[in-house]
Order: sequence, then structure tokens, then C-alpha cells
Amino acid sequence: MIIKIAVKNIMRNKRRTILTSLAMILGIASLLIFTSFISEQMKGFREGIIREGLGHIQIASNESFFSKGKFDPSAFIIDNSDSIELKIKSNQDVINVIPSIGFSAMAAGKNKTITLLIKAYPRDKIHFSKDQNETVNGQISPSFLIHGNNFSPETDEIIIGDLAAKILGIKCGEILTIMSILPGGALKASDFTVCGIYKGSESGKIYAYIPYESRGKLIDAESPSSFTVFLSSENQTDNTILTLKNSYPELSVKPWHELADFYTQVNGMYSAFLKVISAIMILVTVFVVMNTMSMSVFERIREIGTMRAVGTSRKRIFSMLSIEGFCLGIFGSFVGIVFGFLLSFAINALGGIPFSYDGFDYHILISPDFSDAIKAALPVLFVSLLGTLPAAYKGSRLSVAETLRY
Amino acid sequence: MNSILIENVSKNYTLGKVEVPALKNINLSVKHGEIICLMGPSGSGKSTLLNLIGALDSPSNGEVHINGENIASLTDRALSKFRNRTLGFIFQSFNLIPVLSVSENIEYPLLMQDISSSERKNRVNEYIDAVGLTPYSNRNPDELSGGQRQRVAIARALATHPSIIIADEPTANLDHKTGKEVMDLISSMNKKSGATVIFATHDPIVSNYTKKIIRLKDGEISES
Repeated sequence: MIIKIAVKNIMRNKRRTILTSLAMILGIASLLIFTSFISEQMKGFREGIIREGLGHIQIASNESFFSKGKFDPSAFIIDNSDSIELKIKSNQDVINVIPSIGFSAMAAGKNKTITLLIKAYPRDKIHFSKDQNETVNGQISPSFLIHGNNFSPETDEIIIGDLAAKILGIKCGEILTIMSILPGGALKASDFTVCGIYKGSESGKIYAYIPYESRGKLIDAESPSSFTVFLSSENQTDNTILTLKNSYPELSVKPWHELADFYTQVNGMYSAFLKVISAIMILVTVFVVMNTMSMSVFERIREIGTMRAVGTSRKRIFSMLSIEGFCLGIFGSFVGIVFGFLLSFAINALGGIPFSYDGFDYHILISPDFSDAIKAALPVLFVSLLGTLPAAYKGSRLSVAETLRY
Repeated sequence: MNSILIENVSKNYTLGKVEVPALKNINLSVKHGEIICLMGPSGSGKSTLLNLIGALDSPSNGEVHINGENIASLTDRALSKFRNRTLGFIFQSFNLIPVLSVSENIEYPLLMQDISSSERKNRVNEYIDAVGLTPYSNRNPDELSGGQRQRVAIARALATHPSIIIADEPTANLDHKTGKEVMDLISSMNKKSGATVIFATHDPIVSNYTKKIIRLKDGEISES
């Protein structure tokens, strides 16, 4: 009966219930859409970072490699790399192990000479996509080719960023002379045919890529300085890291996220932003529910007095009013979730949310999952109960004789 | 044994910084099964005295004993239980719970008693029938006339089998004919239950149904 009375009282003032619920519904729905948008955006960002070169796991000879050795490999060459590569490949969750080496070199173009940071990957394990819709899995895919093609077999080729190509005044099919300084001070130089020009991010514009097989033309390194490991699923990262660390205690094994500083910063910023929005929504809900319940108690003072007169205890009155606020929260949360999902279907039906990044236009499709919905609704549910407590307490403590005089 | 014993009871209300006496040194005893009527002009202290007898308020001084129990010694929880088991209230404005139907209003105080669901339903049906509202059992209070609402309030007050019925101006919001019908109903049900009944009223009709009239004036018993 106590729940029945609470529910009937909610339905009693429909306009007020709708307005109160509306605040919760809009809050939950917008939070759900926003969370999902950020989640999808970060998923794309994460996949991009993994694909562009970090893979799911990076393996190097030691910890210092990640701060000092990315383009100065001499002190970080991995011994027994072939057997290590084979053993890592035998792990059931590993779909690809890509050896690589990075170094700096001078590139002499028609007009200028610049320093390039060169990464060498096996030619069959690096693939630049030609447009943003081409997906590449389990291979290094640093960016999009805007001119030319990927590496062809058995040729000394180079793929450079568009800014580097512009500075050097070089086009696809032309020869670029690359010169590197070996650890002893000797020079090593070779001609490479520019087979492709890619659209790079700001920092990527001074990068260039050559086939791993051609590294000997520029550096003296028989083995790679790092391995990039791709897994069948990102969820396997932590387990595989553990296995690899146990198998190769002498090597440094790192998950992608420990090396993706920018991703971590952006993710942190978005998380903080979401927390602020959630906090605002929670505050609004608390005040709306507090206000609604205060009005509801004030309007029913006499009724509460009657219930007390016929034997209802303070505890029971408190429970009844608390249940009322909680039911309001359940209603608002449920409709908010349903509305959030419907809104996401509508947004997706209209083509998603337009988003521009690095000169490309994307349409992010919203796909909120149930855990997002629960995360958005639980605080609302909790604070709707919390917002009810002051009014419920006040209502239960009223003097019976005074309430009956109203 | 007295059903109600009031000893040297005073009640003061504080209005701002001023203390206003509502009852002054009241002494009263009511025997089991008696029907008494508190009469007096507005502000004479009738409702205040009823509130004290109904354990809805506590005296500033003195003691109120109901069925031998000093109500000042009871905790809020015990008082709620005491009101539920011992007292039945009939209010001037009916005071029904608007979101509950006629049968649910009558059932409500029974929910706080240790009786089975079937016994509860039987009790509700018995009293709806007794007040002649069986065809209206599923209606909400706002779908009933004033007289019908007061009948529901009477059924609610009696369904818990209280030993004392407290009725504050039960006919004040009713026309003469309906008021008389309501009083006939309370009187006949009192005969069946044997409960003590205390009325507070201005209405001379009510006084016709009682053997003992206590007149109050300025918070004091002027005549009994």
C-alpha cells in the first residue's frame, strides 16, 4: 500500500511530475549521447594510434629505448630477434609481430636538405590506406596516401609526408638521396625512389618510411630496435603483456596506452569534462527533486497529519515520501535511457554527428551501450533519493496536531 | 475503570514571544462506553482537549491517561501504535486520503495491525456495508458527497475496533439532514461496539445524542 500511495501521489500532479522528470530525462539522454560520442571518438583515436605504429604492444631491448632510442637505435638493437619474433607469434592472441627500426637521416632534395626521422617496417607489414574508408587491420598504417602507391617488392623506395615533399620539392617517382651518420662518424648514403606521399599529422610531416629490408643501405643494423605486436583484440593486451613479460624479463614490454601521451591527455580531458557535466546534471536533479518533494509535502501536510493520526509512524511516513522520490528517479531514469537510445537512433539515421579531424570529415555514429546508460542513470537515481530525504525527514517530523490544523 | 482520565492538564501555545493558554488546569474522567460532548465557542479549547485525548499533542502540564496509560510516557512509535489500536478519529473535514479508494481508505489503518489479509478484507467489507457504501467501494473520495465521505471516515475510525472514538465537529461540513444521518450512524455503531465516544461540536444535533455535555469557556470547564 505504501508503494501504491507513493506512485499514486506521483501521478497526482502530472504536470509537476512531467517537469521534474523532464530535467532528469534530458540530463540522462544528453549525457548518454555525449558519453557515447566521446567513446566513439576515443575509440577511433585509439585505433588510429594503434594502427599508426604503436600496435597493441611495443617491445624494446630496454626501458630507455622509449625515451632515447626511437631514432637512435645503436644502443637498443634486440639480440636473437628472429627467435623472439617466432616465439611471440606462437601466442594464440597475437596476429602479427612487426620488427622495426628508426633513425634520423639527411634528405637532399632539389632545393633544400632536411633531416628526416625514418621508420623502417617490413614492406608487407606496412600499408598506407588510400582513403579514410579503407580499413587496415594487423598492419602498420600510419596515414593516408595522397599521391603514389605503397611499397612495391624489391625496390628501394621511400614514402614521405606532404610537407617534407613540399620543402624538398620532390614528387612521386623522383629520386631522393638519403644520407645517415653511423655511430663511428662514417656516412652512409643511398638513393630512394619516392613511391608515395602521405598526409601526415603535424608531427608526422617530418617522418618518412622505408622498407625494413632496405635498412642496410643507410644503417648497420642486422636486427630491429623494437617489435610492434598486434593482437586479435585490444582486450587481450593486459594478459598478453603479462605472458610476454614473464617470457622475456630482459626486454621492456609496454602496452600502447603507456606510450600514447597525447591520447592519455585527451582522454583525461574528456573524462574531466564528462565529470563536470555529470556533476551539473546531478546538482540540477537534486534541486529539482528537492523542490518538487518540498512542494509535495507542503501540499499534503494535512494528509500526512491524518496518516499519522490513524497510526502511521514517522518511519513509515519517511519511507513513503522517500519511495515517492525514488520512484520519480526510476521513472526519469528509465524514460531518460529510452529517450537517449531513441535519440541516438535518430542521430544515426540522419548520418551521425559530423566531425572534422586532420583535414578529414567524419560522421560519428552514436552507439550507446547498456553500461553507459546505467552509468548515466545511477547517479540520477541516487540523487533523486538524496534530494527527497530533506522533505521526507521534514514531513515525518511534523507535529500531528499542527498538521491537522492546516 | 476510567477510559479517559485527565489530571490538572494545561496547554499553552507560543505565538511569537507571547505564551497563550489554550487549556487551564483541566480535570476530567470518562467511563468506558460513555458518550460525551465537548461544547463551547470557538477558541474555548475543545479541539486542543480532543488533541490531547487523541494523543496527537502533549500537555504543557498535567497528565492524560487513556485506558490507564499515561500517554506522555510513550515514544513516537508506541504512540502511533497506540493511536492505531486504541483510538478512532472522525474529523470535521473528513480527512480521507485522496489517492486511495473508499475501501483502501478503510483498509489503510488496518495495514498497521497484525491481522491477515483475508480478515482485513472481511473487516473492510463489513464496515463499507455498515455505512451503506458498498456500491461506492472503488470510488475515490473526490467522487463522493460530503455525507458519503463522512461515512467513509466513520467506517475507517471503527474498522480498527477502537475503544475510544474521537469526533471533532463531525457534522460541521454537512447539511442538517445528512448531519442527523451521520449522528444516527455513529450512535448505532457505538451501541454495537461499546466504545467511548467524545464529540467536540457547536451543533445542537450532536448534543442530543449524548448524555453528558462538558462546556468549555476560555480553556476551562465551565459546566459539566
